[in-house]
Parts: sequence; structure tokens; C-alpha cells
Amino acid sequence: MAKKRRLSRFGWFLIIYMVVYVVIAYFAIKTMEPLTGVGNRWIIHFGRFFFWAVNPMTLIMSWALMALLIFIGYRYKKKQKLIPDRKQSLIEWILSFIYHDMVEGAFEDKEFARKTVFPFAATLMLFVTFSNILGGIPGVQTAVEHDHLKSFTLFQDTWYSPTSDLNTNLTYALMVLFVAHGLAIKRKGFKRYLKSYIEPFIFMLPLNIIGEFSKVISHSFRLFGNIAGGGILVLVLSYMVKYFILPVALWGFFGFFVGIVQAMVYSMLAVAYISVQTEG
Amino acid sequence: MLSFNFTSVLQIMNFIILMVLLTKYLYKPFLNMMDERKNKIASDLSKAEEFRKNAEVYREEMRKELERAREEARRIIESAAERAKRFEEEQKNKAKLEAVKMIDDAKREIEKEREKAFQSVRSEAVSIAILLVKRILGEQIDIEVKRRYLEDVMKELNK
Repeated sequence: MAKKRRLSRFGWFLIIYMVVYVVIAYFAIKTMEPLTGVGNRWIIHFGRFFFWAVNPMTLIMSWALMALLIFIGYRYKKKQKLIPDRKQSLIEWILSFIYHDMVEGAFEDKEFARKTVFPFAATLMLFVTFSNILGGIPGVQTAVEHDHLKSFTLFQDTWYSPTSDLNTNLTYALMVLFVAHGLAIKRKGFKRYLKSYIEPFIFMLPLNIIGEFSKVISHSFRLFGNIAGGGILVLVLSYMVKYFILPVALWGFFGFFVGIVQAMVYSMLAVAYISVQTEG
Repeated sequence: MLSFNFTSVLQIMNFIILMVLLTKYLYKPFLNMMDERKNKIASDLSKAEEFRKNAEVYREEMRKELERAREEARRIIESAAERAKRFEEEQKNKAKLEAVKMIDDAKREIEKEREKAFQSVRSEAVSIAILLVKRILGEQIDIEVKRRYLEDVMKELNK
């Protein structure tokens, strides 16, 4: 029995987005400039020291994502029902995946997993996933010359992922480190926490310390390399084939597939690090 | 390219804000909903089990009730049949008796009629005989004597 189905608002949005994309891309290819400054970022300095600067694109996209996620959450809470509809099922499936498959199994204390680790890991997972997926959707980019904004271009590259900025990845990795150790101290006590550094014997102390720091580096650079590198690779390849079909496949692969896998790896590792510190 | 700067601080703040708000809007409602659903399913299942058990009991009761009703019906039918049979028998007997009575009555009637007829025939015969005798013998013999004589003859004949 064929069910007549109306196109949803999201479906219309996708169709309009694609039509606009094709029209603009058609004209954009004619006026395409040589590719320069790939991977450069728009940076606004407000001090002499290198630290006193911000990456506006990272912040704008982060805030957009936050707004989206909070909007979804707000709608979810408002329309929550015991018997879920399709959207609620999807949201609950994702959260249930994070809670039941990633967090719950890693901790003995279910209350701790539920109250403390789950919000942390889920926020990390959702933010990183959505941010990575942005790398698969054509959108607005900035053309940059010497840290300064030259122009906006439409649909020549994907939206900017906050996770392709090391500011995001490294800080989140450091945050995971601090959270893991903080929770370990809180749950195990300072003495037992310190003792975990000289296990199995005292000569392992330097290795343990190096291990902890290398965790941060591998954790953050893995995601950064995948997303930023993938983005640049796709941009260059797209330019080389004059945006002929191939970019679609590449955006799908690097944006959605690699993006989701890396987001899962990132948040799973975060959970694993916290679990190792607090349970061990 | 690896520009590490103040953005990181803002990102941490963003993360904390996001975590707080999502905890309020997404995670807590989600976990509560999961618990609620779990409890509801568990209670529904146990309730269903209870209902099933009750239904089992009711079914058993029903079966017994039905058995009893059937038994009762059978008994009623049996007694009715018995009564019908008895009634039939009675009616039959009554009819038989009536018939016998009727036949007896008829017989008696016939006997009576016959007696009557016989009586009349006899008196008629006597009269005829007297007449005949009178004719033959003339008027010599006394009528009374003749009658007595003839009646004796008749009695002889009757035997």
C-alpha cells in the first residue's frame, strides 16, 4: 500500500538549498579565482601577544551550533511524550546510544556515570559530531589574506567546522584531561591518585606522566588532522576538478563519514580516559 | 596555521554553557523519560501478568460454572422426559379405562336392549300362541289356564 507522503519542511529546505547552490555555483565557477591562502584563518588581533586574538569563524560557527543544539533540546523538552514521534525517537536514539553504549558500560557507579559523565560526554559528542558534519555541507567561507578578511565566498567550500581549529580540539582535550584527573582525585582521594603514577613500580613515574600528556596530544591532533586536513584536501581536489561531481562524494565522505567516526572516537576516548582515571 | 589563542578560552566557556543548558533541556528530560518508560513497561508487564493470572482463575471458574449448568440442564431434561413419560402412561391408562368402561356400558346397554327385545318378543309370541290355540281349540278352555300352561311351555323353551 503506497502511502502518500508530503514533503517535510526539512525536505523543502534541502531542495531550495540545492537549487540555490547549483545556480550560485554555476556563476561562481566562471569567476573562480586561483586558489590562494588555503588553510589560512581569519584572525582578529586585539593585543600584541599572540594569545590575544580570536578566530571569528570558529566562534560564529560554535555559537550557531550551540543555538541549534539548544533549540533542539528546548523543542525536545517541550514536546516530550511517553510515546515518541519520529523526531523524538531520533533524538532519544542518539542519546541512548551515547548513554547506554558509550558511558554506562565504562563505569561501575551508574549514578556517577549518569549525573557527571553522561552530560560531559554527550555534549562533547554532539558538539563535535555536528561540527564535523558542517564540513560536509557547502556554505559560506572566508577568503583570507594575512589574517585579514578579504571576502566571503559562497558554496566553494563547506561550512567551517569549529573542530578544524586546534583551539577547539586542544582545549577540549585538555579539558578532558583536567576533568579526568579532577574526578579521579575527587573519587579516589589524593593519595590513591598519586599512587596510580608509581604503579606498577616507581620507575614508571616518568612514563606515566608522559603518557598522560601524550594522551592530550594524540586526542586533539587526531581530530584536528582529520577535519582540517580533510577540508583542505577536499577544497584542493574540488578546485582541481572544477567542482565537477567529485566534491559531492568527497564532502559526503570527509564531512559525514569521517566526521561522525572521528566524533565517536573523540568522545569514546574522552570517556575511556575518564574511566581509566576514576575506575583504575 | 596552528594559531592557538584566546578563542580556546571562549570555546571552554561555550562548552560549559552548552553543557549546562543541554543538561537542563536534553539530558535530564531524556534520562527521566527513559526511567519513566522503563518503570511503566515493567509495571505494565507485571500488571499484564496479574491480569493473565486472574483471567486464568476466571476461566477455570467459568469452566466449572458451565459444567454445572450443563449438568443441571441435563438433569432438567431428564426429569422433564420422565415426567412426560409418566404423563403419557397416565393418559394412556386413563384412556384405556375409559374405553373399557365405555365398552362395558355399551355391552350392558346391548344386553338391556336384548332383554327388552326378548321380553317383547316373548310376550308377542305368547299372545300369538294364545291366538293360535284359541283358533284351534275354540273358546272351550279358560284363558287363564291356557296362559299358565303356555308360560310353562315358554319356560321350558328358554332353558
